[in-house]
Amino acid sequence: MASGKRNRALADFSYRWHRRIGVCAAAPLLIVALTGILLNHPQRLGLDSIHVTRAGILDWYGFTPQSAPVALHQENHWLVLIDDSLFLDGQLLDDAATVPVGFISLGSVAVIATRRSLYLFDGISQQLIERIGSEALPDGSIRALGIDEGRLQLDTSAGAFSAPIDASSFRAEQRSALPIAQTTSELPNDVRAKALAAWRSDKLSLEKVVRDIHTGALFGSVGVVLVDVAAIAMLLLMLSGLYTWSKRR
Amino acid sequence: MFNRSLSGKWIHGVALQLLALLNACAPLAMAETVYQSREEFLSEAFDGSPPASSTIELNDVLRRDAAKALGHTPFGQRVRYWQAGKRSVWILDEIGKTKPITTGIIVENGQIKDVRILIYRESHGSEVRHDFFTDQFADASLNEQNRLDKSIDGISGATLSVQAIRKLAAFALLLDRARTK
Repeated sequence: MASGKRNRALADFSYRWHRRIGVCAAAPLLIVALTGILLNHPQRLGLDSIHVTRAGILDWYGFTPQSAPVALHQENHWLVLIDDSLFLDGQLLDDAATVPVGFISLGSVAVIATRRSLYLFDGISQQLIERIGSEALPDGSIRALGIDEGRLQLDTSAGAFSAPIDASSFRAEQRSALPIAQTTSELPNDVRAKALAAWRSDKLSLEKVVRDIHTGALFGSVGVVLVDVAAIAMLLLMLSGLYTWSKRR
Repeated sequence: MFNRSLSGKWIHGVALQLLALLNACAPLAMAETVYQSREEFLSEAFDGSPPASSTIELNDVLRRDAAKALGHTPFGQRVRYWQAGKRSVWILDEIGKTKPITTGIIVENGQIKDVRILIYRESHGSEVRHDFFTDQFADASLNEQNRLDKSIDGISGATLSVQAIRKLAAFALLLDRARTK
């Protein structure tokens, strides 16, 4: 009889705490469950290809370039390198680029040189014509870009070279007057802001945000601890639920 | 005696330090890795004497077919390649997760002869550089739907990199076919 009363008291105790824990943990467990379902199907839902652009969330994550932007400008067009992403008037040209050393306009075509690449850009269609990598360029790193007698002129660490405007082939030149390297430009605030916005536009996938909500990492160590507590609460709910069920059968 | 409050704090502190250490290592893990330079790959592909490069324009049909193969509009209006006899060599980039993977592809008689990962820039998934993965592309060609006619096994933990290389293989075959027309 005494043991029966004790078992019933324990069952009631378990049931009461099961309710209390359930009510308190309902919200965080619901979030963890829903985000967990989303994380099980990231590609089907396109979570990895959707990028967050809201400034508030990007600021929260603290996405800032590791180095100061480097800029060249030609008339009212701006070429900006942020870390290894190269933008022309806010449009991404390359996200594995090196320092730009030259930026010239030839009619509607812009020719851009970094240390190991050339970019031909069609200003009319606003599209990249071609990115020419080091395998199709003369040896050495490019130091300066110019134009003379209708041909591109390159000053590289391996000497001087020229090419037709389409950069289809290069020939060595014996030049006494080499192109002069362009000096980097001071970025106006609006150009800097536009370039930074373009740089940040693909930094944060929705999948990462959902994952950080799921783990609590979105709110730092406090969030992680709260999710840990919710997980422990789930364990207690399971144990108390099983116990209450077994005693009330 | 065992002090529960201190041990709990100790465990939590250690966990936080490990997390911080992992985060600190992340930037180092993102550095670019060059497995083979583009120049070396071209030299190897043509027995030490690579030809001058040529370019192929991406006309409307080719651009449309390429967009289906890549899952996006191809970057640029033309693509550079190297060709000698029936062999063409393409050096192409495709985003894995966030950064481009520079890949060299050799095509001969409409079939892939070699796929080589030249530069890898992601923190995870570089297993695609190994022969056990790239050898699968040998003798692959395009079927009537402009897809690879061979099944390519994936690599756990490198899904996006695997997809990128598959796309580039199909793209290279499309380009080679257009080149020969």
